[in-house]
Amino acid sequence: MTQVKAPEPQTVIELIGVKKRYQLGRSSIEVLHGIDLKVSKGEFVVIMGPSGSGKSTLMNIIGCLDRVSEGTYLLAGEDVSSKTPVQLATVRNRKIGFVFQNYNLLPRLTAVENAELPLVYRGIGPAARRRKAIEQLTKMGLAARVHHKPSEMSGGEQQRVAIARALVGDPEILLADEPTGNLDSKVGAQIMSILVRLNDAGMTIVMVTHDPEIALYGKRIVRLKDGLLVGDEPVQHRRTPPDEHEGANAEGAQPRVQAGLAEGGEAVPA
Amino acid sequence: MNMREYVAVAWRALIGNKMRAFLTMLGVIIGVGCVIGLVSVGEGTRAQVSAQIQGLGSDLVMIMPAPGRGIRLKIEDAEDLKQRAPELSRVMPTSSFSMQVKYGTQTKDTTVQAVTQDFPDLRNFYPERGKFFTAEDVAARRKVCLIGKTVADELFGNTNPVGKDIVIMGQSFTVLGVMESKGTALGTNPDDTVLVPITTGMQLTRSRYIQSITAQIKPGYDAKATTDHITAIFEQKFRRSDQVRVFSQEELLNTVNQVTRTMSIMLGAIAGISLLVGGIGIMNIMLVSVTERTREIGIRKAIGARERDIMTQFLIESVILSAGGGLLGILLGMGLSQILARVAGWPSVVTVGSVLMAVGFSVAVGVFFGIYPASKAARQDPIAALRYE
Ligand SMILES: Nc1ncnc2c1ncn2[C@@H]1O[C@H](COP(=O)(O)OP(=O)(O)O)[C@@H](O)[C@H]1O
Ligand SMILES: [Mg+2]
Repeated sequence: MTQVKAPEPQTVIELIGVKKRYQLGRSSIEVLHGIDLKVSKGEFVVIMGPSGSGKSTLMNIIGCLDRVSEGTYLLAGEDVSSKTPVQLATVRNRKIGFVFQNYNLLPRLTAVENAELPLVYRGIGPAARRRKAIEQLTKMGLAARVHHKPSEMSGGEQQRVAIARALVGDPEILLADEPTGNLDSKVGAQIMSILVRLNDAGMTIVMVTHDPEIALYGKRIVRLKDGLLVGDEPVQHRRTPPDEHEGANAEGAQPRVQAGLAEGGEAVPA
Repeated sequence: MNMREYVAVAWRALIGNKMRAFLTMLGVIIGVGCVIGLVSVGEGTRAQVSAQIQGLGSDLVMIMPAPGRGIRLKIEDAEDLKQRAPELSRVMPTSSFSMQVKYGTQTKDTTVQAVTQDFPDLRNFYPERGKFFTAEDVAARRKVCLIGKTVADELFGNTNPVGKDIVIMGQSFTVLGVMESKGTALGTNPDDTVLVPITTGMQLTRSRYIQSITAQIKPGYDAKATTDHITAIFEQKFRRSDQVRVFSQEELLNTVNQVTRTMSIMLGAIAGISLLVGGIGIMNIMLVSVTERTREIGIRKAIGARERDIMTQFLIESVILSAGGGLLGILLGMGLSQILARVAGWPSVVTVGSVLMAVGFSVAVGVFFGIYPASKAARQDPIAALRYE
């Protein structure tokens, strides 16, 4: 009992020498040339880089939507490359929440039906999953939009439905590929305030953006260029997200992430 | 996800495009409608014809001269046959003519059948009023007759015909009785007839010959062996083969059953082909639908749907299309067979078998033609699907 050892931060994502090649007819092009990246629990990593540098390709690999061509990807210590398609589907369903630039909601389904979709494939009964989906939508400030279809909602609202969908299954990591790319800066800031508060509550987040302003909401910036990591440093002057009123003014509906997480989320050291 | 939810998801996708779903089902609706409608007509015809033949008595044998051989039969041939064929219980010489009969000022064109006292037992056809003529009446060539229900109604109306005289070819016949009604079937009316003794009938037409012989096989004797024996008897008599045609009611029944069964199968096959075409229509639309919903498939896969989930979802859609088409088709087919029965007078029987067959086939069509599009959907790469615009 002479010393108290600081607990080793738990590694959630570990990429070792990851390469990705796409087959184009007879020739193949290599998009990622060997990426080494480690993300620990509770981090907020922002991936930046010019268009075509391989950010989305990297995110798809992290999100288990795609497989590495070479190298190793360990998700929570497990080697993903050895998993069967069915196991990968289960990983996507349980461990990963994915948010896309263009929301990717199913147009015929209402907000709550979209949000509950991961639970549908988990085999959870209609009543239970509806309750969870409504709970998430309420945290996103969408209680009044529960039965609206995507076409009846603004871009910011749609993206919040997408975030609710990503969170409904209690994933270990939240992946966001340019989540504010289709939104104006005010609504974008509102989405960022949601992500920051989720991270404050303990969620591990990896986000892609090419907007330097947006990137400053993260804790660590990783730079990608032509399929190689060219930079990895912590954010020095982190931006604080706009408060609730600003968000309310921007969209009319009021995100209540803070309140929601304070009630239901786990306590996280500041 | 359980079956009910899969069905609910598939149902919503179809409801989202009602017109397309209906048009896709139309092929199956028409195919199944034809199966039910046509098979029911075939089945109805078979049932009616065989009932009719059985009503005549399935133990009957008909003997008539083969056409174009110049052979003619006489009453003596019938008597001779009775002596030589112990397996026959009754042997009746028969002729029939189309003639006009008169009562007072009323006339009626009908079929006059010249028969013997054995007619009622042979044909299972008895007088309702009065009595049939006797062997004595036949031997004495008495001018007596029995009339069918239709003739009685048209000539006599409400008057009791028994004991009245009707005129056939200028000669007066006493009505001994009225035959019971057998009802019309297959365009023939057994009630539209006048029965006279064979001897009287031959005298009336100044003929020495009869047209055919009807005989009854004793119980326990084989129909085929008996007809063979009769054939042999006539071969010996005329010293040549193929001079007469001998066929039993049982063989006729078998033939009719076979013919109508073949007809049913052929109608069913034609209908089956249209069902197949309907299935191809379903496959076509499902392939279009898979392409249109590439993005949806990508999204579902990205959030954890397994290939099996996607496969089931699309497969159930195609089965709903085909089974829904099948059910609507059954209604259409029942309606069709009702209409055919009413308007065209075709007998029709919708059998449980044909309904089950139609349902089974349409579900099978849905599965068969749904598998390819569904597996195409299931195998889609989620990233490519998400990129798809
Ligand atoms: N399925 C594919 N087939 C071939 N090339 C691809 C495919 N997907 C992406 N690429 C290429 O890989 C490179 C990186 O793409 P991407 O990861 O989408 O870049 P970013 O998201 O950084 O803009 C681009 O040059 C793109 O054309
Ligand atoms: Mg990209």
